[in-house]
Amino acid sequence: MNTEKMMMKKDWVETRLETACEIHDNLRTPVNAKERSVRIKGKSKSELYPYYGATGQVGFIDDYLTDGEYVLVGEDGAPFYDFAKNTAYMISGKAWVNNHAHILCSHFSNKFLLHYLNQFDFHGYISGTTRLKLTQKSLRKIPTKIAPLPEQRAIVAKIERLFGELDNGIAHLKAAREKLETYRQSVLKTAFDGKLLSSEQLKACRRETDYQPAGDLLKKINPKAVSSESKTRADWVDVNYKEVVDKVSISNRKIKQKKYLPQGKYPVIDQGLSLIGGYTDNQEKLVKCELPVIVFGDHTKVVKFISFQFVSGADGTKILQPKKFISPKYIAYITRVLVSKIEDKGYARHYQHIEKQYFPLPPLPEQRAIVSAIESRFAACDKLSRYIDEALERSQAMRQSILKKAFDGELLSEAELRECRKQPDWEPAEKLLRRIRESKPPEPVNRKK
Amino acid sequence: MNTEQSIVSKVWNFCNVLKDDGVGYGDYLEQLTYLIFLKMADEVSKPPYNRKINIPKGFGWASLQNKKGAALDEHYAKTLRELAKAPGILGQIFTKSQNKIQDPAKLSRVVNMVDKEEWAMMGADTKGAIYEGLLEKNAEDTKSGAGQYFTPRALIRAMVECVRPRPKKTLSDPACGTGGFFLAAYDYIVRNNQLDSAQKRFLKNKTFHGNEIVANTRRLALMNMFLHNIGEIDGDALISSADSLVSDQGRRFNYVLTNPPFGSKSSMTFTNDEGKSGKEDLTYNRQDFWATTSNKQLNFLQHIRTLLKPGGEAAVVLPDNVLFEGGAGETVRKELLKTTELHTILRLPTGIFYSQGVKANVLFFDNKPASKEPWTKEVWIYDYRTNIHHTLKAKPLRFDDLKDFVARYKPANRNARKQTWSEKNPEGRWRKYAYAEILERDKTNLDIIWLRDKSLADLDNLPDPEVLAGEIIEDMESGLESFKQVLHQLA
Repeated sequence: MNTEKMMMKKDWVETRLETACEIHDNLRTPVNAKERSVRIKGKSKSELYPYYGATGQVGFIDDYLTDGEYVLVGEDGAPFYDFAKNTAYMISGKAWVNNHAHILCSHFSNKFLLHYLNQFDFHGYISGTTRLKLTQKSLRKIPTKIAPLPEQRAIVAKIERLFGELDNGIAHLKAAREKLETYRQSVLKTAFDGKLLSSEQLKACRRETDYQPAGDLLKKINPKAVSSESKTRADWVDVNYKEVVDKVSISNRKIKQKKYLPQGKYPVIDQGLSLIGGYTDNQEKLVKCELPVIVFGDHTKVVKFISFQFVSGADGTKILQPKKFISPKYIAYITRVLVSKIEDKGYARHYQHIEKQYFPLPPLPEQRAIVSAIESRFAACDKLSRYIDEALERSQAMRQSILKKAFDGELLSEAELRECRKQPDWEPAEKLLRRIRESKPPEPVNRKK
Repeated sequence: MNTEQSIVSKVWNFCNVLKDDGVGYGDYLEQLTYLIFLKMADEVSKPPYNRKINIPKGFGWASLQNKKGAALDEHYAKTLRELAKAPGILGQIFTKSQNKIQDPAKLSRVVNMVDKEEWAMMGADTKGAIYEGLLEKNAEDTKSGAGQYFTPRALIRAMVECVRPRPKKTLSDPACGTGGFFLAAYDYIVRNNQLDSAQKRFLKNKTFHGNEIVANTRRLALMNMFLHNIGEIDGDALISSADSLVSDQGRRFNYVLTNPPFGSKSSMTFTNDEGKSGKEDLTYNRQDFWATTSNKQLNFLQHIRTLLKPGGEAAVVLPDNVLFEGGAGETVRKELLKTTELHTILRLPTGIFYSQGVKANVLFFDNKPASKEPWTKEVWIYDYRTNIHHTLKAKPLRFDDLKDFVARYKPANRNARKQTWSEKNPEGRWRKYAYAEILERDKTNLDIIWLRDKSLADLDNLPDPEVLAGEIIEDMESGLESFKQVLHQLA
């Protein structure tokens, strides 16, 4: 702590909110949604004005009650205890405010007041438990900090600059997170096209004991299968999807969604997005097949790789068993690629289109190597995705941290403070306050229209 | 094969010979630049030109012609060093020059190749084609990063056709890279006007002005312009090495056409006197700007506006974040709409720049005098991004692809523009938005899209995983850099 900073806080002063700003609650009037829609019907955009509530704009109306810059703080229904959310916001120009927000106008900087309220801890000023309420009586008592005017301006500018930088960072991280999905697709496509492995990795595959050209492998997998030489590589073949998987029958073994239990012995796997849709205790319904299998959502096109015992969901759940001598995981990834190749038919069935597709089949060691290459990259993606989520969470905390520092009087650097003191309108906040007290007429009592 | 084609193929073939020797396109280009320049200086010092070129004695072309082996190598290196000290364009071209051809035998072959041709006499088209061709090839080598100095020529041409520069006016590019905008503007003015001798002189010597802080790129730009007949061999350099953003140099121009660098590196790491490394924030301190920010593109936009005369016109390539970023971004957008007439935005597709995945736009605006009322009444937007797929190799951007945009832009009479979008034709790509509509948008953002994206996962045009990984890392680095900036300010 240095003396400069202590001095700065000496130039600040704290006072009750009712002294620091004007309260214009008498300008509020509620109009319910039904009446508003009647009033705005048929009117052009230039005849409409924003209608504001506790936390922001809630609609439009055909007239205005305020015209100017104000700070609005929710009276009820505002997230007073949630540090991540704002409780105050600014409005300007012609507007109409309902009775769920207090209307404030600072004697000093409105933006300074806005940011102050958004980092203020409202505990002790809020009444009610389910519906939190900040009455005007409590609002008036809120201890409000006032700094010399140039400092208020400088602090506001710095807060906004830092918020801008933060938003910039957040936008980039979100862009990166979105691209991860595209990256996964690109990896799968590259694998499909036989371009994922390096030449060293390919050489290693060829040295494995179970290496044989895919054409020969296919004869072992399915002697009846027809295949053609693949353009991808000399020892690959192009094969029809349905020649390498068997459909597992689940008639009489399906469980309808309404019979799912929230907990139970056996998981139910269906075509929904989550891996497990629900549970059941009914042992009879377990799918009889060798694991692992691929569960395909006929309507949703979801692809799941399942290696534990389960019960099948009903509508649209297809169970596919990869044949022997083929890597089941490889087929699962191929299925995902084929899903992106076929046309989206909305809620119609998709499997009939998947099974018509051809795909290039590599020798078995290469299948394993490709799966391994895909999974290590996907693991890296997952890690990165989690890292981004954490960083985004921490950015929220950073926002609060900026505001807190600002109002602890620690945001401006020594140089920035010196600049402030050079400004012609610099004076200790106490003097500012005294002048306001002397010139202000007594505060009008809140009168409802 | 005619002479031009045979020269081009000769130059190209040698490219590959040198590539095998570890001399990349960029390095080859650099050496060619020095040698051709010296040869041309030699040619114009003789009849019929008889120009007085002040090449230091003993370092002219003749001194290179008669040497071989180690002697050539040594003399060439000395020549490069000497010429770097010369005044004018000469010094600028040879600044920080280095010989990158290690094998003197190969160096000798390049010297001979250059020696055989009469460059001064060669049409500007030919020289231009050879040089630009090499620049383009150089830019394609993505690992070298040279692509960031090269704006796709089809895009440049479209921008010039919209702005329609006129003779006897000045044009600036404060981030000129290899000078593509200058060349295109030059060609446009020559093609569309019967220039008298005063206009020709103005075009050659007084029209163009640029900035490029990277010495090698500046050299390529100067040479590029020079081969195109812009500037005099012994004249002042038309391209400054100063960082345009640092301060207002005072000059004002009729036109600004530019593509400022993408990327958001906004601080430098340096080692101070005690040998400790620290980071210095490169936030430019410009009192004449509307907002202080470390966002380079926002700063360029503000700077460009200061470069314009009243009535001056600008066309600037800028990334998406300029259109939607809050804080300083919002301030800049609001002020731009008020103080200039921001009449057109062209949304560009991905896959046309050498930095894959870049989402960029062209902003067209006219500077106006001070006024109480905002100057922008409506912004016209052409969406050439949604459902458009280009790649650098398989489906590069051609001028034909932008012909519809230029036609709709109506350069000759912007008041006669008509939307192609309507309630009945929601797939129309040309649409206007009123000033009031834009003000209502969150943060006054100009990131406006109305077309439905039909190809959220266009399998055929997916970039390679490595390319995507690179972009993801860049995004993460930018994001984390921003957070670091904030933490640094809070400490």
